[in-house]
Amino acid sequence: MAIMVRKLIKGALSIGFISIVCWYIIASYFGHLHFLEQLQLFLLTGDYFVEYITCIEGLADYLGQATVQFFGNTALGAFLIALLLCVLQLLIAWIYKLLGKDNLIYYSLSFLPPVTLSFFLLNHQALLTLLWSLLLTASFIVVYIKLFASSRYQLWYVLLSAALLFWMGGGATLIYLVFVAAYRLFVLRDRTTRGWIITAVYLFEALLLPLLLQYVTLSPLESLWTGIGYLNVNGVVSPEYWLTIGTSLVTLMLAMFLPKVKSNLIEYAGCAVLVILISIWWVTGTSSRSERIYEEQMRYDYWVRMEQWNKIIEHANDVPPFDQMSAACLNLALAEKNRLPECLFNYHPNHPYQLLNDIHYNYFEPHYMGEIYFRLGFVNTAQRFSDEAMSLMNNRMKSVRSFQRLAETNIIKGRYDIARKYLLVLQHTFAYKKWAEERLSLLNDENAIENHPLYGKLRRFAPQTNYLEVEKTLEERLNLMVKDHPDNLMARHYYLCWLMLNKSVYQFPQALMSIYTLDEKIPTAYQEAFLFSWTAVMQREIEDLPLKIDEANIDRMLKFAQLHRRRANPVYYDKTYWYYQFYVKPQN
Amino acid sequence: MKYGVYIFSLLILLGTSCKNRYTIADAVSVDSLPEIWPDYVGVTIPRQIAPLDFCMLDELFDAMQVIVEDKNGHRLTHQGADADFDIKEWQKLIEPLGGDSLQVLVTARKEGIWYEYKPFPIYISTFDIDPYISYRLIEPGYERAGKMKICQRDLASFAETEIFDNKRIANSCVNCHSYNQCNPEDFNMHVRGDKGGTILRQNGNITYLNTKTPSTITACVYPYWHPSGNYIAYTNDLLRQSFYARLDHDFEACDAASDALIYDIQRNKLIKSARLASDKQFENYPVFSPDGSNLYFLTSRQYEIPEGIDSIQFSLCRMDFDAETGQLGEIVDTIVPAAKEGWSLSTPRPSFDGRFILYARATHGYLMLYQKDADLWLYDLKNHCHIELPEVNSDDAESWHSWSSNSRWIVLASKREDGWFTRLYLASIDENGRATKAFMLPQRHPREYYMQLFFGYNIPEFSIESVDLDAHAVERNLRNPMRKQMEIELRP
Repeated sequence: MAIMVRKLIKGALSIGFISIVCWYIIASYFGHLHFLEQLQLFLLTGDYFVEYITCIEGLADYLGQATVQFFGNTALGAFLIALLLCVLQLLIAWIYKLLGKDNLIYYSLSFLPPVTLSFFLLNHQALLTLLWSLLLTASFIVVYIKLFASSRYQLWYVLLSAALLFWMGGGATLIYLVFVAAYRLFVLRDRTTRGWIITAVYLFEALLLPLLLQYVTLSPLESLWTGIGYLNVNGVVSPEYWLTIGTSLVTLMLAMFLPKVKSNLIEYAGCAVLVILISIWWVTGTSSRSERIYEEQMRYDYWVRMEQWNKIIEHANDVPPFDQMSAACLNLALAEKNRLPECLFNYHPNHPYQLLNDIHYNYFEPHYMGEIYFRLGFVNTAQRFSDEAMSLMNNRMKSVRSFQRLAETNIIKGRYDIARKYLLVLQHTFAYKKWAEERLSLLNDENAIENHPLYGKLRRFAPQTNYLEVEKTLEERLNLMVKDHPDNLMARHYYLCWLMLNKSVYQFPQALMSIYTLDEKIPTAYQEAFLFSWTAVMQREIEDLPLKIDEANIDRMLKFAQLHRRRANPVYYDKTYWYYQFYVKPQN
Repeated sequence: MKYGVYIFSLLILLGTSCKNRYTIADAVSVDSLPEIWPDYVGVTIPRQIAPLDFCMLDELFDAMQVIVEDKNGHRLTHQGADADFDIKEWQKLIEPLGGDSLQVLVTARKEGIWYEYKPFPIYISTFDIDPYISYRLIEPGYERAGKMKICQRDLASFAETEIFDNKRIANSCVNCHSYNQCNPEDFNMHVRGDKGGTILRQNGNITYLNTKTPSTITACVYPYWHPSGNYIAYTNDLLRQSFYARLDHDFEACDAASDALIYDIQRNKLIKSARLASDKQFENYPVFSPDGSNLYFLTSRQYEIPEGIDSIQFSLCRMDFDAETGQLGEIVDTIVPAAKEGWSLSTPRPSFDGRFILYARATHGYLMLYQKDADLWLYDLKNHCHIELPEVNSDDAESWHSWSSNSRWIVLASKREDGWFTRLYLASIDENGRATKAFMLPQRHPREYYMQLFFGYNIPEFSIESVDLDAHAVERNLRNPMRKQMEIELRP
């Protein structure tokens, strides 16, 4: 009966763990899954496999990427991460069991490494390589204990398996040698001279492997200690990496030193206390490490990629965007739904960069911003951003999103040879094969491209005036796009909204009058900005208004002006252009 | 089990015979040369080159048989999806054939039918080629330093090894590797970025230099060694890069300012002469003549950037240079007044025999791979005339060229394949300036190789021996902020 209860509790703990991880990811981490998925290009070819396994850390990297390719499906992605974390926990629990520590307390303790690893995975630059490295390490430890711990070939097995493991999984796998060295001393109790020498040899190998392999692999030494591809950035180690390594090592070592628990009461109570403590640590650790701004950007970007414009607007209505990149995604959604001018000020903008930005500081911002340029018709800029994004990523990685965009820009530009180059590679992916085949069928078929809902439109909206991007400001580029293509409604609204957010009080009325005629219905925000420029800046009479301005808006402006003159902050008008003009300072 | 093997073999045979109703023996004769990729039809190659593996241009061909034969009947045969020759057999075949030729007979299968094409020749040059070339592999990227590495290729095989990868120094740009007349013992490489510096190796000693001084506009780039090994000519430039808006245009790169300088290695003096660093001119790409007595460089009227970008046209000038004293001559001689003639000359590379200057020409600019009309030409220093090289050029951009140590081979980068990714080509040039058809750097399974290569090549350089650089030591020393500061020497 007691055995059954223990099994039930263990099962419940592991299933509960999987469920919580799944729930958390689906509820608030789904953008992160898609973020990871778009930033890699996993190919189902033998060459690709060979290319990876012939590199140090390559197998863990390969397996990590193989896992991430399924992240396009949120539920599957969430389940896979949860499952792999649980497998790590089960492997550690198995190691405890092999050392005779098969009870609920130690079973609970086995959750520590995966919980700590989940902190590491919250980092937007974290890849799944470290997870796979730890899985390989734990598997090797299990094999060692079960098959080789007492073998007379132990020394040779450990030396060779450690080298193989290090090659497959990188720096984190050195845990294996430390564990095995300790196992020899404290479990096998081989404290003879030979035993001490062998233990020293194991530890020496842990030092020697990175030192030697730096010359074989031409990799920087520090990367061999801390992982070449654990993070998607070169030369950076996150504190959570050390925390994960430390926790894993300590948890494994404790298996050798902790006593066996004989009392059922202590076992159940200890288990309960540990579960509570680990849960508290998990919750506090997760909330303190969750990258709120990045996660929000990833969510917005995911919806942009999926063209879920209504979802973006609904989300912004619940939680207004609190950073410029998210706001830019929101404004793109509003523009796609043709609601940009009427809703722009509803979300308290504070800078024109919330529409469009030409500067990027990392490898993912060009993806976000490139999406806007692409949809506006600036195809060359979108291409540049895609190239930049991929070029700035960690060395071995390609981006499936960049490949898609580069294929698209080259299709639009009629550069079919180059488009084909990207599409042929995408054909070897699991998730984008069909997408690539559809585009391949478009190549050289001018009619099909002209009639394509997106590519055809973007060809029609291709800039006619030639200039170098550095020659023109964003405002000038938008203006030229509107002049080249008055029917490009999105560009028109971006241009006018840019002028409003830039507080270009002289240019705005000119621009509006060049776009709208006297009898055309003008969106409210434009009316507000025009009224302000016409009366306050140009000092002209309301009676002489050359555009159709609603009486209600004139009344509202007069009331706002009264409040403003009285130095009373007119918060009632906080969703108007006037409020933005007087009370919002640009924040970059 | 035994019967299982028989049945399996029978099924395979049946399957094969059903699929291929025709055999090579039934091949249809085609009265034309095969369209192969890369185009190696009628090319001239050195005896020390890797096998010219190729495939059919039309991807519907799924099998081919290639017979390569010399006039004595020695032959090399390969059957497969593409022509994939054994390196040793290939070298054994072509090694004795200097000045002779090979005949290549291609029979290829498309949709089950075999076609036999007219044989085409491959000529084996009498001129030897240096054993290695090194180059930079770089991903398209324009504002930040992305992925790039300097690699070297053993020309006799397909082996490519890494000299330095910029992943060693985060956010760095590695470029401008240069050897003294193809001898990598005198080695120069620049690393740009926070931990950047110029790496100078001479007589086995490596010095890490800071080439930026208060009197120069930037750090030193585009190095060119004086044959004595005592001087290096450099450029200082403020590079600007930008995309065009129109989709039928790509990209432009130019300098907002540039000067030419000479570094005296022994004295650690960076010589800045007013004649090479005028405020009213762009000066660029200084190179020494092979005897070291002249300095060639580019000059153009200075324009506001980016407005004047289309107007920048460089001419080629020459000044005397005294290697004993490091003194420049008084007279600046414009030997190719390209700007007056309405075009721009760039990347002058004197042949080491002193006969020619190989250069790129286009309507404007100096970074010619961004100019679609850029072509390579020779300037004959003996007869003072220009020689067009139609065998080497294409409809797209050619540039980043350099000479082999015996001045009989050139390597160049070209965008001819797809207009975007640069690939390397080799061509022979004889003592009279006659060029042979440029051929693409051979690779094993070239279609797959190049299709999956998302790096472009630039700055290829021949070397007479393998470049042996301890990348770990370089990395370690670059991380150390200690640099030898170049001292400026201002001259009229």
